[in-house]
Amino acid sequence: MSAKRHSVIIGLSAIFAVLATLHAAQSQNEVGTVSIYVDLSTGFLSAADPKATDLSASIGGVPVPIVGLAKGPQQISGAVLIDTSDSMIPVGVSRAVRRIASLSRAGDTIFAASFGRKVLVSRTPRSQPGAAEAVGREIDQKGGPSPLWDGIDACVRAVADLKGLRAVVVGSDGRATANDLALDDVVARAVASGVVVSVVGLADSALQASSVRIIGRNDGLKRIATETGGSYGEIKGHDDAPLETMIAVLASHRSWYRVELGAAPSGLKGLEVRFRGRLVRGGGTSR
Amino acid sequence: MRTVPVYATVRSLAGHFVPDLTREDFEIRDNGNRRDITQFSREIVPITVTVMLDMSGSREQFVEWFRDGVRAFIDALLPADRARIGTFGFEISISPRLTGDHKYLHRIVNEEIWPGGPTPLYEAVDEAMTSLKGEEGRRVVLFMTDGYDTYNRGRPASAGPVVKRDGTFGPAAPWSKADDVIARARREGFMVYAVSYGQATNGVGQVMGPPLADAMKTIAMESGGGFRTFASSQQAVQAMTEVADELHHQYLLGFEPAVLDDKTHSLDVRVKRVGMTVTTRRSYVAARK
Repeated sequence: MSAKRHSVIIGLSAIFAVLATLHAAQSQNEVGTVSIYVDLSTGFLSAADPKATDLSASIGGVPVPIVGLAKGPQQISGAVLIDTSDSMIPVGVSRAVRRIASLSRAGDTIFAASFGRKVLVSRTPRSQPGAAEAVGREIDQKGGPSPLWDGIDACVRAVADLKGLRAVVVGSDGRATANDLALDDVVARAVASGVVVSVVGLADSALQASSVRIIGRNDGLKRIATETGGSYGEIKGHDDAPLETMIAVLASHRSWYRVELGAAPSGLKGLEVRFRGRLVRGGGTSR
Repeated sequence: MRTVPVYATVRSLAGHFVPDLTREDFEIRDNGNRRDITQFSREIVPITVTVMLDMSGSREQFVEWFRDGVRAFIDALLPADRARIGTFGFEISISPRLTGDHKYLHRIVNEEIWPGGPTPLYEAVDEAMTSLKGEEGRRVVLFMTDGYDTYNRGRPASAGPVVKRDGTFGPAAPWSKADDVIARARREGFMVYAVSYGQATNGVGQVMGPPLADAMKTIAMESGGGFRTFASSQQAVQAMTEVADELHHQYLLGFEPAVLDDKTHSLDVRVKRVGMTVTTRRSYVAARK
């Protein structure tokens, strides 16, 4: 199995950067459909819901039929990853778990996770009585370093084989330390598994008082969000609540569209396909 | 009876390593009493080390020098050597894998260096020692730091307020973490090295004194390690390379204590040949277990 990068260009009109990834391990004789989840909620599209016939798509320059377009709410298989390290604004894990639990809808599978001295991912099913308290105990920790990439990777692995829109939302200052895994490897695994990673970062103004302004501090987080098709945003002040923003980001994923792409070009059979694309309306052209 | 290992660095008057000594060239005194040397080796002992880099506010401008120094140290490691890389500032972080994989170690240096914060030096020394818990043989912790703790409770009140992790100032508490880590290094046989930039400043730029606080020097010398200073990237590279070179040129001596009394014993190791200096740990705890 080799890996190739291909563009998906879906014709709408204006300019969206859409990045979606999936693992299309099709056999030589089977041409299946593949799904990508895209955020069409911004820009002029909010005025009118697009239809499949409004769109056109190509992969690597080869036209691909769009056989389905499903508006949200989407089933979410996700993880909310909390930074409890010493360098981060303290987050109350118990409260976070209760808020995350309140986000769940029927059919969802949502994990809570934290990273600090350890990477901890909840395992208690949401339906279990007292689940929020149990999950709180499972991921509770305070202080320590920032194994950010290890934490994202653990969350990606937790949701990778689940159904629906698979997403990880992480809030962090970006100062990754004590990781066993390299950023490159974590990005590669997330891309290959098709899990969307969205990020709530911290602007310099939101850091602890004696922090040093470091150029590129959030580059790794921006990169993993961009390459997996997730969103990236920053909170600006100490009083902003990263948790509430993380909850809102994961909730917003529910309204994304699922685009079903038809027969993939034969040259893609059996390959791990990495899609990168953008949306334009009315047959607009590529960037 | 257990054998107490003693690692010895022997240099000539010109400062060169002396690699060809024999067991008979050494003399060990335990609390002043001569002991037979029951173990002797001049083979290269693989390095097992945790390297810690000071990320505190006073060191911001020197981060690249630190990087250069630790990269040189990694490049000087031999195939059997293993290391962890850590930092201390807002956080105390240590890479999770003790490894000789140079690519892995360089990745830590490239991706996980974040300047800023206070200097929880003695807590970092303690955690570095903990990171090597369970390892056999010579265990080394190597610090690139100014040697001044500005965070934990080890500073005397006369040294002024400490910088807390949120960047504000607070009063120093009386407890001395420095004494604890000295005692631990002695009890558990850790070897401590410190490599320091010229002159130390605190979080608001005030000069705190010459490089390396006395406590850090004491830890280094008591443990049989050492300290070096640098004032440029080139000197940082040289100092760190020298530490690796020294660790690859140490003799392993061993002796059996006359008594196991759970007390601290002084150690005096001498070379009988003229014109040589020997550096070893200066004490050990004759633990019953």
